[in-house]
Amino acid sequence: MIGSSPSVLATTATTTTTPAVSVQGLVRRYGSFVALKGIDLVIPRGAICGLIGPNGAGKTTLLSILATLDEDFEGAVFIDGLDLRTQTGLVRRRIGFVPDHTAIYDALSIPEYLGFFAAAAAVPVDRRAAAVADVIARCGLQSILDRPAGGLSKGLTQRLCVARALLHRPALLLLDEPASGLDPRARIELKELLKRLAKDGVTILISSHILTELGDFCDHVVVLERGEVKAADRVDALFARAQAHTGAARRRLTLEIVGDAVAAEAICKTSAAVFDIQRDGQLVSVTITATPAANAALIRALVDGGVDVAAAVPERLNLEALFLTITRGGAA
Amino acid sequence: MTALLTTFSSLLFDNPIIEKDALIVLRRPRTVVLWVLALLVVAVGVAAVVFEGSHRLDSWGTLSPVGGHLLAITSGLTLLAVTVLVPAFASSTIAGEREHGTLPLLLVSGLSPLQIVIGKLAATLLVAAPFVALCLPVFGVSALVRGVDVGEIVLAAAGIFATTVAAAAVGVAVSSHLKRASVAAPAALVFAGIPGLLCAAPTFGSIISVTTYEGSLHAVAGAALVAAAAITLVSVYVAWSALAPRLAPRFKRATQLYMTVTLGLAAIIVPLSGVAGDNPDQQPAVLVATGILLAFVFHFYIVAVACDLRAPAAWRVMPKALLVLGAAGVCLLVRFFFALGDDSVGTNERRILVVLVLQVVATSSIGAVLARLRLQLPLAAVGSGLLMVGFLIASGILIETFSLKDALGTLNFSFTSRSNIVPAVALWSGVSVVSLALSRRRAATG
Repeated sequence: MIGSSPSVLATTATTTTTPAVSVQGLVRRYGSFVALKGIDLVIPRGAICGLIGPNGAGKTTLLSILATLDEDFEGAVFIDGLDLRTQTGLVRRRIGFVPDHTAIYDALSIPEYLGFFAAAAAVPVDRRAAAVADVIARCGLQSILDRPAGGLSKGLTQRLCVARALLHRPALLLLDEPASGLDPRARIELKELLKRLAKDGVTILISSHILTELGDFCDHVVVLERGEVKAADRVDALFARAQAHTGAARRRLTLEIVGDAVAAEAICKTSAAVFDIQRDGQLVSVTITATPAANAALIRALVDGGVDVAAAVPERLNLEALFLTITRGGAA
Repeated sequence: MTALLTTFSSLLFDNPIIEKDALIVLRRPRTVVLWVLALLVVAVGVAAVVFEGSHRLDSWGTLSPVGGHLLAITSGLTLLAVTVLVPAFASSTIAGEREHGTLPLLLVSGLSPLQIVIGKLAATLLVAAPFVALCLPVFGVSALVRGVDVGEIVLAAAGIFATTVAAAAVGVAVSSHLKRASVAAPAALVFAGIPGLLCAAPTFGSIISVTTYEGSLHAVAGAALVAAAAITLVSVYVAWSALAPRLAPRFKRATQLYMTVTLGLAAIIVPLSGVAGDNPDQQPAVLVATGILLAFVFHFYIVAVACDLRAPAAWRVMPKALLVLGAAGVCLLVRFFFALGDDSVGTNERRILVVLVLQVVATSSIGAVLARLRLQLPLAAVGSGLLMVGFLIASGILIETFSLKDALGTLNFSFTSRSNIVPAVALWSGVSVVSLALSRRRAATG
């Protein structure tokens, strides 16, 4: 299995610090059905971790437990080192939760909605207005403040929900399928918002079935299937392992050539690291040994040969392909 | 001490739920409708008393009886309004949050379950405040026109306040237990309306026997206030434990106990309320009316529970219902005991009650089957309710001398011979067995 047990995401650099999430032997049963089958998981602070898996894999169950909404589980869960079972109140101060449904009060205005949740989160009275203004600014809601919360588009509603979850400045943000039902623009805006939050140091655990979008900005990934962790690690490490497992020691590299593309093609043919070449106008696409050194050597050869390279774009690591590889058991 | 004050403050003075709910309910048109409705109910009562008073003034040249009547009628009507409208409003509080998906957010945000429950209770009382406030001027007038002393007025005001709090608390407790507001509203009426009458009946004479109560008003008023306080505390506990997952097992037991006790109390108070009646001719009618009322209450209870709680199998609900029915049976026996000296209660009434009890089991079983078919509650309740009415008529057909007209008019049921009751007993027993079997099979497959 990729990220073989225990499913530890923590890198060497972060193992000395308390992880944002630590799960040990987590089991959740619904009668005779076992939704989570003894999960072990560690998510380091500051990670943007994608939680992926097919429908019924246990993603929402796991998030509900981490959000302190489901205590009927076996095993141990720690958030920021706090025992979720015995220190629930403190844990709730450290997490922000955005469920998979839009949960708003139609009759309240946006400032009223956020003001209520600021009070609920025990933000001191003298700081509430500032906290509300802060999340409004961070989530780009300034232009719609006069509208009732119930009349917003799905994209704006989702941003409002994220704003609500940020009011008490949580260290861990849990998002359950936040991009579901959003149009492309709203998805992009949400993605940019989450990237900004990650830069601010918020650990993000996001479940989604839209893998291409997760692949854009997640640095860690957990693959769940039928209540078991199939893989859990940094995204690049998972790809490396998947490639090693499947023998994929080569990758595609697309070069945008300025000037003589035919000459560039000829130079590429002379490289021992290149196995296949295709030219389409000024774009030369090669299959090359999947190492940074091979890429650098090829680009240097092109430049030395008098060919200017405007861009060299390696084939995007595809999370969907990785997911399929993992869940098919090919890399397990 | 400081921690206690902080906790108290967080529950009442720094509880964001109260402000949020107040904002929301004050923006709902139905809140105004509720208030207008309460005003109309009280106004109609006052108008009736004034009319009656002016009539008496003409006849007797005195206003002295008007004060007492004004107090009794206003109190009774207000209690009626409170026990119907306040639980209905309270029922949407927590169930509404759950239905709209906001309840998890309240919990995750850091609000304690007790804060949520107290906040909901306070918000409900805010809406109910005009109900109580409406009475006070009328009470003042009743004191001015004689016929009532200040102690009775204070008792009446305290009773209305306690009943309002208890009705709101039971409504919130029911709301915390159910998943949909549309189900919680009628369920709250069943659970809160009857405890409300429980407080109302001995304190002021019930709606049934408002003018016929004899005994120590102060003693029963005190007992009723204690009962209201107990109901409020138990309801808050039930609601609180529903929102605290780790209390789930205890909650289930507490809820089961609570529902059983509540309905048991209802089963006690409703038959006993007829005891206060001083007209022996009314005894059989009160007895049978009580049986029919209980039949519908239990029927609804089973349908509501089976439909909304998605009980693993409807037949598992039946033991609880039968337990309650057992309590009701004991109460009815007590009722019989009181009526033993009354020649008008005889074999016929007992036979009617047997058939009624069997009908309850039968129609409730069918209701459970309807619920298992995943029908919406209103459809299941109405469908099985119509069946029940149909069964009543069928009983009349099965029992030769039964007259629906008589039943509705004078409640003069008559079972002329043992042979006439046998088909009815056989029918309802058979329906029960078949329904439960179907329900169980459905549960096994679904």
